[in-house]
Amino acid sequence: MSHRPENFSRGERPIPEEIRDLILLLVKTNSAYKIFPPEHITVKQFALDFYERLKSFLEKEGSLDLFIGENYFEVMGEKVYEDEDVAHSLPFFFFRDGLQRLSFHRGLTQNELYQFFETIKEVASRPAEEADIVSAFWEKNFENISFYAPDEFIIEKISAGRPIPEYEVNPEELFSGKIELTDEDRRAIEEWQLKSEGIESSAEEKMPSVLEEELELKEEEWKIVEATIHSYRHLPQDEELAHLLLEILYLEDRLEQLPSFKESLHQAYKTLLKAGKLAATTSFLRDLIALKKIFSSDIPQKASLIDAFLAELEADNYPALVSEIYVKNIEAIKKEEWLDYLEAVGQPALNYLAAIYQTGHLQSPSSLDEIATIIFEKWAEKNPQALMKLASEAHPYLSRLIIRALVRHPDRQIISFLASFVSSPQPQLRREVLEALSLLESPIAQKIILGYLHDPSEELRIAAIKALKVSDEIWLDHLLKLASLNHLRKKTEREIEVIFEALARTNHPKVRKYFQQLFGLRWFLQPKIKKMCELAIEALRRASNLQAKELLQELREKGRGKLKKYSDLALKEINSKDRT
Amino acid sequence: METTSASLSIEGQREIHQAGVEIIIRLHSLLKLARLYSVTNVLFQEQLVLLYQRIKENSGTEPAVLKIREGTFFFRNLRLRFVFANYPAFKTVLQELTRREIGAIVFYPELSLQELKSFLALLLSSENFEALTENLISAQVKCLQVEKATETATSPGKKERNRATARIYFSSLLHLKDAFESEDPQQAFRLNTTRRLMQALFTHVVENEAFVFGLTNIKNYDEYTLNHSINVCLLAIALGRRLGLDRQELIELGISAFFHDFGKIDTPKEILDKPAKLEPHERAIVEKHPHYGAGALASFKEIKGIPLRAIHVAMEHHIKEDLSGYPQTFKKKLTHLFSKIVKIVDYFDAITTKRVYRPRAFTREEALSLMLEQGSQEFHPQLLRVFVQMMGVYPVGSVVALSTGEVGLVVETNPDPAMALRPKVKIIANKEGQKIDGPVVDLAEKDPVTSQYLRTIVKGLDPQKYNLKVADYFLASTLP
Repeated sequence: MSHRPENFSRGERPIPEEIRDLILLLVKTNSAYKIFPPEHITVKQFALDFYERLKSFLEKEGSLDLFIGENYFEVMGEKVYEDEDVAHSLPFFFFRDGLQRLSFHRGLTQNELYQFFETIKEVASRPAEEADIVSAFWEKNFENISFYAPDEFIIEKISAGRPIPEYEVNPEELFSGKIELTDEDRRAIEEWQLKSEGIESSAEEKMPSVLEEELELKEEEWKIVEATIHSYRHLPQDEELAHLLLEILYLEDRLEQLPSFKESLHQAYKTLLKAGKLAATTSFLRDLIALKKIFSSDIPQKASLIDAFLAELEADNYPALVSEIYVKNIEAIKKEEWLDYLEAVGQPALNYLAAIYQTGHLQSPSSLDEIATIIFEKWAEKNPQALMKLASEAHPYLSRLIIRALVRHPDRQIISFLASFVSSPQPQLRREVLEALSLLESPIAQKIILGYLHDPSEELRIAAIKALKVSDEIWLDHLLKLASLNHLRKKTEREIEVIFEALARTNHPKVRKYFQQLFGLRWFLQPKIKKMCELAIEALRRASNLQAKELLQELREKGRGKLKKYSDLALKEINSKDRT
Repeated sequence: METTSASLSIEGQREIHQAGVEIIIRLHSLLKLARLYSVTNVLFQEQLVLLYQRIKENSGTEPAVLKIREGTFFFRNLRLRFVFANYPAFKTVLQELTRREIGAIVFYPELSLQELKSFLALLLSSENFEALTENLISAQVKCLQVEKATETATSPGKKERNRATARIYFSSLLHLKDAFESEDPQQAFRLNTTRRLMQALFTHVVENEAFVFGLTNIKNYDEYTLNHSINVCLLAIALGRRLGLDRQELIELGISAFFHDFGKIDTPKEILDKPAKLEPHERAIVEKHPHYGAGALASFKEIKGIPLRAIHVAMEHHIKEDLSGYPQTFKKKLTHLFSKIVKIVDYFDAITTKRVYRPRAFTREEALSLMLEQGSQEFHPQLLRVFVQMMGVYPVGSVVALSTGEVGLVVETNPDPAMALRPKVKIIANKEGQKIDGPVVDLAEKDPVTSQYLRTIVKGLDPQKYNLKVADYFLASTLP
């Protein structure tokens, strides 16, 4: 370590003016770095200028040694720069952290110099108690910039005026008196001396018995060490910390220390999540749950702590955070990882999924559907009420998924839940509800379906008709009412067809009477009626039950014109099917 | 004017680095061979040619310069980093050049093989810089130049340097004591100061390693935990350096080792100092200190700068390589590299310390033997071997009986593994057994006439048997 050179000579030394200018440029460049961002033209110009001039100097002289006073720089014993304004003084900035010498050496690169100034800027921006330029330079370990900061600085900081503890030594005692070797030790020397007479030197290299072990590592052993170092270097710190916290929690036996743990667990959990490390987050959760099981019998306080932590995953900003993570990492994280995570996190997963769907930033909601369906179905079984709470008019897509999941595991409250969406302004949502109702074996569900017969959407009316299990006379009367001529006139052929099919399937006397009345109308006077009759024949053909056949036979016998013909054809078809 | 690394690509820099390392290794081989054989020897010639070729490849149109700055080699202005495999080569060549105050060797493009051979021969036969330059001129070696180290003009002498190392050692004790006794966490850790202290300790390990090892013989029974923690810190940094950890990592390792026993602040002193075997319940209390320490360090998370690894080390330093030991963790995971390192040095320092419950400590060489016997269940086998190699067969601080009848104290190991039995020792008693403040002698030295070694270690001695306070000898070397 270089200090102040005491024996330099002048004569062939550079003129101090050149150095003075160089130092001034150093200070100005530093000021530019302080004021402007590094890519600013002013900074670039100063930095380049300084570098070029310094490089030229170093090529000639080899190095530039700058000695640092409280408010000045010195080169070769001469002050070359002074600044008494402590707040802005570069010499003082260095001086306060104990820097005594700064040297630039031949070979200095532009990049190194820029890093030098950026390091100063970075340290200067930190609070005083966290800032240490010497430490920062040390860590940077510049190739061609060296420095000297005496130990005394740090020693004084530590001692703060107190004497440094010493170990007292008495040299007189140390170097006087005798060492009386034991017989055994003396004998060993004598034996060696006897053996060594006339013996070649190679025999002397006998190792102590245990240390005959080969100490030098073989190449494959170096590789083991390198691999060990390499693997530790790639351990992610956030995962390490999470793991350590769990271990500390596991081992901690001082219950009064527990309260502070919950916050630490949240910190670790959030850190992993924010990094998009779902696998690690899942592992963390699973470990916590495993620990909870272990603690539940012996240390209930720890189990409660974990319970409290897990419960809090539903609250606060977690749903928004998870949503953000999902959208940010949509390509990067596999579906399996998401599924795993959401399964591990428990009930909060529902809120998380809701938040993701509600975010509005999902380019393609369906990318999440597969995962959501699995999670929703699981909770439909476990706690359907929790799922029901998430559905709302405001989020129809999400609500539809929820409905689908619930209907696969119907709960006693499901019908009233579905009923709340019957009058939704969203047709797709109403559709979803109708489909769900149609799957339920419940008279109340059927009653609700009846309401759909008057739905503004034809699509839904048709679906409702198809969904109706017209087994009850009350449902039949509703349908017959719907099938009145006045109503039918307002309906499309498609809807009429569906109504007739529903009626035709029933095999009920009221339906027979209805169709007889229909066929008895003067259809030839009204094309619409004729069409209806044709549709009715088609419906009966499809139904092909006994009543349908009888009606068709009646029509064939009593009917005229095209209706007769159609009914004949229909009967032939039915009969042909019956034969096969 | 030299080509600077500035103008080279990463690949180019890598090539230069490789060349520089190879030159150091070849120099080392040649220096070793020259001690054993004459310069006309076939092996020597082969190595010489290889060295020459490497130099020529790197001095096409401009000189290639190998220089030393602050204990580090630079080749063509690129810093050369050693790995643990070539550490002995680096250390030996550095010692040889530094001893002769050589700051740089300049190889000119016109350098001939003969000149290079002459240089090597003259290097070994010249005691100092002035003698070497005179000899080079006389031998008409023109295309190779040596430059004097500029630092040596005002470098501290050995005594001053040792005093500085001792001061930083004792300052560390004070700093750690403050941490242990403070009630305020911010105050306890003062991480800026700790970091700076580690940097200083690192510098002393690099520049004065042997003396640092000597200081780890200081065993303060009253302040055992503090003293022990400093020793562990120093040994860990030294071992980490051998393994090739970079500066940042070494500082973190140092901090981790510094605080590895922090959990003992919660262990009752009467149990720690109990002069008898511990009862099972007392043992159980002692075995909590790892996770107490880890918990304390983790709870100071808001204080930036506590390395995460410090928590690992606090937790794991008593877990064996086969995952037995304590504490028994929830998930049996491999311990961290730093924990493995600290485990080794912690164990070593502990068993070489006399304790109230252990009337006789192991000598240093006994400790190493014992640790090797423990096998891979206890320690990471390769790390342990590097540690043993670093400490030497007779570690610094070992008291030895010499073939001359003298008693010596090992003050510096031989960096060459093949010369492990030939460290430097300070003579502390003459052949009559009279204690003296004797010289430091190199057991690798041979009688120029007979070519026999002047002194050889016959056996290690137990300093406790002879009531010798080893640390005192090192500290005495700091006295004015």
